[in-house]
Amino acid sequence: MHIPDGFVPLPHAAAYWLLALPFVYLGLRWSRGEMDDRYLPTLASLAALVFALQAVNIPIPGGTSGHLAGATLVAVVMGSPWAAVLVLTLVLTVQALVFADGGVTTLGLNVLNLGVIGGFVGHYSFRSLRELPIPDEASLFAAAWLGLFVPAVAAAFELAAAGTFPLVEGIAVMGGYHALIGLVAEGLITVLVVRFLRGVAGDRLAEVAA
Amino acid sequence: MTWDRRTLALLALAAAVAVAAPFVASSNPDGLEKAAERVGTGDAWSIDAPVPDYGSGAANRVAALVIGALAVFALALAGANSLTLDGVSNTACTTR
Repeated sequence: MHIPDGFVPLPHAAAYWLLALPFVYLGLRWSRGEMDDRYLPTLASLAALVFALQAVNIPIPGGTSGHLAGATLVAVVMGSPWAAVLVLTLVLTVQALVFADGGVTTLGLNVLNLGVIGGFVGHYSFRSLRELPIPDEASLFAAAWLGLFVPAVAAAFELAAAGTFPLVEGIAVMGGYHALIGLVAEGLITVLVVRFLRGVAGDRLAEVAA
Repeated sequence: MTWDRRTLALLALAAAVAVAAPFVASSNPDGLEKAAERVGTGDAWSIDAPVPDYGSGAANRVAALVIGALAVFALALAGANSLTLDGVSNTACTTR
């Protein structure tokens, strides 16, 4: 769901940069303040994994495909939505500048959608859902689904504001495709990676979703 | 900083995924591209990136993804270290 250059007018792109940057700044403040330094290698290796997994497009019925975005995974494993903001900012920047994957002018917008909205929606939905009497993995699955679906709907609104997509049809197709993508590429993969982490490390980070 | 099992396992998984990705990834358009095909009017352009679309051919793509994943890991560590080397270290504060 990386919005390419040219899909939003430059003044919009600039406004999204201005909206995104304070979140990146607050994320950096979180990493030097609240985050336990011992988990820096975890954060960095999660960033590497998210980068790699974003290259694995899974075929989806309807002639489309989707890959993990990863915000919920990072937020839940690290226990903070700010971790997702930082990891997605880094991954999206490398993708845009080195691989022309996602726009440069639209980098602020993509950070806002996938990092900020994805991270906060994923993190707080997981926190709320795990209070319900359902298995934690079901909460994680649903949170990850929301952490992809909500940014997709946000993108539909932004692209409608840009005049690139019609509003109602845009919401329908973006929501429709990403509702499916969210099940497999986001929900299932997030649960599998957290299960993998619990298996190999089994400590409090991976136990977040135990 | 500890090179714990979790970090090593995540790096190993990232490397395995990067090597496998070019062979298993679907070439179908992603959700946004498909939506743009159906209802969009946008005209995408992109910068002259060093390795557009992760290169062509499986070998180049594997190399691009492995290098990219390592670069992301290194940048994250370097960035985080540069932020914490000035003494604002959490663990240092709690152990003193």
